[in-house]
Amino acid sequence: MSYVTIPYKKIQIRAQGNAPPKIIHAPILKISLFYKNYERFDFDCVVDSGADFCVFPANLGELAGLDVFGGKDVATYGIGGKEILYFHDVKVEAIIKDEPWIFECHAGFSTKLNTKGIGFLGRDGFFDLFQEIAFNQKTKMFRLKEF
Amino acid sequence: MKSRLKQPRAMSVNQLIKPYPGRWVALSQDDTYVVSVASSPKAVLNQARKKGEARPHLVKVPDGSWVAIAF
Repeated sequence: MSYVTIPYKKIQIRAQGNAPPKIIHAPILKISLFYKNYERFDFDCVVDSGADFCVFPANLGELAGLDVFGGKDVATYGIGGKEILYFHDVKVEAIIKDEPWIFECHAGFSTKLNTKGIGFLGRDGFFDLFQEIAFNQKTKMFRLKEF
Repeated sequence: MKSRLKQPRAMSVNQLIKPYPGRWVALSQDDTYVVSVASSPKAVLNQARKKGEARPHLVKVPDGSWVAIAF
């Protein structure tokens, strides 16, 4: 049984109104979507234990070659309010400590994420790959425990 | 006396993307330099491909209402 420990990445929050700029840290991995023979690109995803499933920006799904809006549409309710996600079975490559981890998952594609450029790696699909995922806010590291 | 030359420090992703608020940036696969900048992910990817970047890292730079991811 082995562990992979990964440092959080810095997130810079710009000054907004009276709020000063600040730096926070979050568990983020770089991923790529596979589809047919489309050429690949990477984008960032937050490892999110609060997400039921993986969610990616719709525009990046289309860029990867998917007919995003041809997927099954499902209404979801989260902290951003109600949203329609379009679901597809996709193959994903996550870069973990410079090593590729390839997995398949039933992922939702969100138009709300189009302007953010980041996705979320949720429990169904990503967390299933590991026996345990632990977050240590004090050391700003997260640990993936393999089966 | 031995001369000591300072090595240039690599820029962080945050530093690389900072000049492009609200834009899409394609970084090199190793996140060491900016390959292209555009207003949409499709345009930035196309430009990066034309410049020979096989697998760019696409980043949407915040325009003030969102956050920037640094490395």
